[in-house]
Amino acid sequence: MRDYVLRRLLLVPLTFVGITFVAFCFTRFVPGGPIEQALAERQQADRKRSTAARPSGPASPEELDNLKRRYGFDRSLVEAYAIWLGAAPGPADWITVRLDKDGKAEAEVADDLIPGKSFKLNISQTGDVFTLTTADGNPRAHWLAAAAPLPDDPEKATRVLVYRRAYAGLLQAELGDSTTSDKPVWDEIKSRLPISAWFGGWSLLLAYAISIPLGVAKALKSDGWFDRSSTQLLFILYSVPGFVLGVVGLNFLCHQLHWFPSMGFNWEHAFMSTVLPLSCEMVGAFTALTLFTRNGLLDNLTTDYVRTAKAKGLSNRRIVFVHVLRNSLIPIAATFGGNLGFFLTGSFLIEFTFNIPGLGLLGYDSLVHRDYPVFLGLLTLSSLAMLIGNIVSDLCVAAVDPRIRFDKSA
Amino acid sequence: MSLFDPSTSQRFERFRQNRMGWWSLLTLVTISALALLGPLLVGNRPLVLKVDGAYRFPVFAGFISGRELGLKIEGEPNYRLLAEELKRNGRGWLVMPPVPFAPAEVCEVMPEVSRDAEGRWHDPRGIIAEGRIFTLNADGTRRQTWTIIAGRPHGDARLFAEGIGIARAKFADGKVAQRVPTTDRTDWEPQGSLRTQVPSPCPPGLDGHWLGTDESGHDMVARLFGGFRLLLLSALIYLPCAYGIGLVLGAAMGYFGGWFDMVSQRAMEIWSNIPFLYAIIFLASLLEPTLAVLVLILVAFSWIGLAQQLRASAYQVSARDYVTASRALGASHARIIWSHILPNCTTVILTTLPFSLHGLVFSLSALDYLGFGLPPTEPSWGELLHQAKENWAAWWILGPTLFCLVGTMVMINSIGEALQDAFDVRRTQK
Amino acid sequence: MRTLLAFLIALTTASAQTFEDPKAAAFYAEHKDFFHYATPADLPKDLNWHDGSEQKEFADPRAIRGGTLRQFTAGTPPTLRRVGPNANNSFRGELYDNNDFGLLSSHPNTDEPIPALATSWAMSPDGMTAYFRLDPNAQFTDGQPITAEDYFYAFYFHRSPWAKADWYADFYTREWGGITKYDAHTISIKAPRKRPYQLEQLGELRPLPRNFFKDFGPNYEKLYNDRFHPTTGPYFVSPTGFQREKSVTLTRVKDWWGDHRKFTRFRYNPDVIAYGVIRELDSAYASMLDGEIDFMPIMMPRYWYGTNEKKAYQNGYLIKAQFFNDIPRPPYGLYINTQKPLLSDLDVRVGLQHATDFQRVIDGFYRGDYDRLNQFSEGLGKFTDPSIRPRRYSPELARAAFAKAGFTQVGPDGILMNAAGERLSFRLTFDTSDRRKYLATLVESARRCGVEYRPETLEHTTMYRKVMEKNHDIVFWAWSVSGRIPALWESHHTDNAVEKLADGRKVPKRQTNNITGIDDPALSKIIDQFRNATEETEMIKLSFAMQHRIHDLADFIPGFKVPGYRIAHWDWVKFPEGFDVRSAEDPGQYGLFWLDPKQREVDLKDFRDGKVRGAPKTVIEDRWRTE
Repeated sequence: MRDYVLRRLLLVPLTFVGITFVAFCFTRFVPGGPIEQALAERQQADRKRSTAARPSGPASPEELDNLKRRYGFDRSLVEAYAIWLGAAPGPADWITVRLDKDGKAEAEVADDLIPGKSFKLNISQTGDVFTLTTADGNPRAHWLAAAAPLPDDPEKATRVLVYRRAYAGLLQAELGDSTTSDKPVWDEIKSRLPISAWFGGWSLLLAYAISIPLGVAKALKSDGWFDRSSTQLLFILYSVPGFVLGVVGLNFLCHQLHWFPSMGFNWEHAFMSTVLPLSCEMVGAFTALTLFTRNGLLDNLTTDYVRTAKAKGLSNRRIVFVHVLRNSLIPIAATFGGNLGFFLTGSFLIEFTFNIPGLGLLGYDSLVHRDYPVFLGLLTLSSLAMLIGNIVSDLCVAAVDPRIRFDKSA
Repeated sequence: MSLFDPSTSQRFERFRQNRMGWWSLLTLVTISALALLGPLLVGNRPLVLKVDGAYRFPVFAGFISGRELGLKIEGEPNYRLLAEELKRNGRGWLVMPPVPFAPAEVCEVMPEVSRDAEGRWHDPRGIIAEGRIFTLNADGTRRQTWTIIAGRPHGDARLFAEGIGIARAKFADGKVAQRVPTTDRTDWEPQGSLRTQVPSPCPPGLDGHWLGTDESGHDMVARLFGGFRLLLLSALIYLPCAYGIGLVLGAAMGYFGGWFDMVSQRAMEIWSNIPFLYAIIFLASLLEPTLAVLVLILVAFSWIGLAQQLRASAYQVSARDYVTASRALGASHARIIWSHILPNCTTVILTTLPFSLHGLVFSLSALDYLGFGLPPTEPSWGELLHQAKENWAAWWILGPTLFCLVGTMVMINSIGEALQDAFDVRRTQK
Repeated sequence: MRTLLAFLIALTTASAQTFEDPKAAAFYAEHKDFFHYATPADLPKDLNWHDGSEQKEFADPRAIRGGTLRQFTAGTPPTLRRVGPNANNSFRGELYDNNDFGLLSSHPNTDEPIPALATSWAMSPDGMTAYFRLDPNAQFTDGQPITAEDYFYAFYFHRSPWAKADWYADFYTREWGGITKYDAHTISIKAPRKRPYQLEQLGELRPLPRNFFKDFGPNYEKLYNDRFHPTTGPYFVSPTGFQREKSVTLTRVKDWWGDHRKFTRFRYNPDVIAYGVIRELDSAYASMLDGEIDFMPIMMPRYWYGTNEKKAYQNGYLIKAQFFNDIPRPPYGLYINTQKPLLSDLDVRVGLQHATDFQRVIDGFYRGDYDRLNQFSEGLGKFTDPSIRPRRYSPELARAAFAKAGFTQVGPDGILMNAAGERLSFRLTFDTSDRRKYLATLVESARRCGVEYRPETLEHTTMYRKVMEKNHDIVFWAWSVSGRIPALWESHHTDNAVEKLADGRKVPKRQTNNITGIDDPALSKIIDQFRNATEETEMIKLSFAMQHRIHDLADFIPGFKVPGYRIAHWDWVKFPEGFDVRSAEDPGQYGLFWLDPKQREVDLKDFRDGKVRGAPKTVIEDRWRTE
């Protein structure tokens, strides 16, 4: 058992790196990234005119190069991934300068030691080597310079990149900054977390609070009219996609009848703005869990120990609620781990339909706006939750049921 | 376990006992069979066409140039209009399919307008509150248009020559108030019969659109029918692919176990965590976004669950004595998988099939609903839902689409439930 | 006495002096050829000063100040910075561009210069330098006076690498020749080269609040991310006025300098403008019908016509208004990639022009409310040749043109083929916006002409990438247009069409705006001539020549133009005589409307009680209608 847990735990980082690396590849190869987004925004017609000077037209080579550096597209895939992971140092802070005719330049950069302050660096070129010195003539730790030539450079002066080498990735507990709001990704996630937790918490609570009693009731009267009709109903509910119900609810209950607000989520009217989205999110959620409880209970009712208990004269009620139910709940408890991920990410189709600013919508937006740091941050969170949840589930099951041994399998 | 096992007929009986599932199966099979008839039922090419004594079958023949039929156009004629023309000049007749519209066809509903005693213009829906009435040239382009407000010409009126606006007048209270250019040669009286265009989405009942049209002007019945055909087609691509991959990998994993199983499990764990909207955007830009491509992407993301279930079942089987025995007798791996493992997976396949279909219908609709799916010329229920969300006054889009989608889902799931009953498989796993 | 006076002057100036950035001062000193300090005595004596007083005032004197205007936005801006990453977002018009003034403005009806921050101006006889006298009472929204130094600072700021604004750095380097301060309220600006409309271009300079940028440095991007940058306009965002994902609230300056000036008084009347976040247009529309939004654009037919059935309209509370404006029209239409096989054939392109039925889209999808676009450069006033008309949809003409290109055989599916068996089949790319709904109409119309359009809808950024890599066949697209002078170098010049590889091969040049890949020496020559022209008559002549050449090359299938804006507004929003001005794209742009908060209360109560206020009302204002 211990070996098994250890092995599973050892595999977590490996799987995690696998997931994030594949996702990272997607961010690299999906056509149209943040650069295109920025350029498309400024020159296409679906926007208002203005007399003020503002960016228009295609990007100059200089601008394109800076955009690439900003979004990390100046590096190879593996290098960029290693930087994101924090396994390789990246340019944490950078600026480009042009050398004057004497091969010298000056750059003032943010001070990495004293927050909010800045200091000057002098750059000089001798041959192919760039030297960086501070005002007192000494080099500064971690600050480096490198040539940064441009294709089709209209200017002749040498372009130099001055940058601070630092590890700033996931291993250093940094998820980077959102490329749309410039806020740390973690802040973005944190600000959306309460709403997602609210919806996730309710749906988790309701799912179990309704499904388990229902399942028990169905099992006790199995194959009676209640059991059969409720199964039928559950299958019909299962057949209604949540977002479809969302569209219907939004149209009739919000827009037509004004029973519920249509303007997204609002903490002040938390109840009213929760009912409809939550019902849509949950419409198909009871079916599996209820039948799961019912069938588990039925299986257990036919086992030997129940027969023994009955023979001993224990009341039916006592058998069901004390013995059978406890045993049937074990596998249900095991699904809890898997639900952790859902709890975090929410249902973006519902959040999209009802315009609820939770993590699901954040994920969707990050995808549409090509906000890769946020996207990867959310992925990190959800895949970690999933990986840990799986282990927790296994452990739960193993802990309560000594018959299950993972060692020999796999 | 063979197909003609006595247990098979027992299962079949049990399946039939679940009446909801049985009827769902019959209904679904019937609808699917009808869907296979396709353009014979729903389409804009006639089943039979007789012109000048010659019989033609455009629904099978495909494209027929208008010139071949003695018309003045090179392209394909609009057969619905041709039918009227043939009736008028007695050159022949034609039989259209029951729903004479193609799913991708754009229909413009242009009823004639009439004037009531008070001089207000009416279309079949009533007084024109705000809209345009116009006269047409022979080629179907507009010749003159008037803006109608509260039944009377008010605002803009325009003259077109060769499809391009050449003059404009402004009406106030039914009279010309201003002309552009001022030296106007026309007296702004209608020349020819006056029509109006009922904007899309057009409500049911006009021009033979039983359920009206959607926002792009497609006939709703044709669209829903086309959407079902599309789902059917996608299921035909999806199921063999998803089950093929899932079966082979799952069986192999369960049978071989060991490091192969370990590595495949991790790979699946990794793959199942990739948000598939990204994959859609990515792959759709590399390949032409057709139905096949979309479905194959769905396959790429859905074989995992199947493989996992099949793995478990294969694992159980491979641990049984007879498998060990046949391995000891020197049977090859391929043979064991083929004759022992795969047959035992039939139960899993059959009982999960409806739920895979459920997933497919859900995913395709959700993608089209979000706008990441097929091009809008392809009929799709998800796209109709998207339109319903935007045009919530158009109940004839939402209602039928909802009915079809939920109805199909209910039938699929009922079959699934019945199959589970029949195979005595209970959901003890989520 | 003299020393005392000097002392007093020094004292007053010192008190009025705002923060002086030593780095900026060093920058000015370093670029002595650009930044000049002079004395009032250095000002040329023989200047001919103008103050725009001959132009008519366009705001309505009946306007009342006050009230809160309720608006919506699809999302809060990603940043409040005005430059740098993400600053070029869709909200900046409301925050800055419409809420800020340069030295001069342009009269929205006549396009003539009118005073803004400058009270009077003069041009040097050589037409290369403009002199401006600044309004001494003008202040930034944070109360700091606007002086000559703030104009200097604009150059320092935008050219600094810390602003991370390469486009601006380039603009403020190349498009300006120098700036001179004569005293705190007199400056002159030199042009970088001879060009048309020199005064207008130089008068666009906008000052920057150097006091606000005290902490400008390498940390600018993060430090100023959520801070509203004081403008010269009437509104500011207080620190609590920006709530991410919730709302943005603009508050009016108490005693705004513009209230005392001819062309800015009676404008920007609401005391507060509150934007709440509503992502979906449909939800916003529902809120507007409930009276929670005062007015909103209802350009799309489903809203404009749908409003007829709404209680608020029928009972006379909500008014529909259509305003025709006269502005440069974005060239919406199909862009044909002429670098692709078959599409390089002019006859094929002419055939496609006749095979693409935009009129049907306008009549059907847009219900006849939009107009057909005549050509690529439309709405540029005297620079647009009115004689150019789009080619009409006609299967006969299309087939005739295709036949000229050798496409005479009809395939089994009705699509034309040439002798080599090549089909007339092209990929037609749209983005996933509302417009994809009429893609089917274009596909079907083209089929009647023997052309197959294979439709493709891509998510917007993906489409942009595809087009910039010149991988498309035909794409629905539109460029934004800014000035009233045609700018065709980007979109039509050979320089942007092809590039020569090292091995001598010519390939389509990527990442340029010449997305039709048009490579025509004759056109490029006229474009070059136009770019060097300064005489208006010659410019007009060349402009017409360019437009004719583009029409003949048939690389752009003109789509439609939106002839103005349509809004629905509650009756408590009052609009001036004539509704708006010629150049207005939305009511907020010139801020001529005003509110009646008392009426709002009464109306809303009556409306909710179900009372009828009057007959439904629709206002159509077409005095600026062009055709």
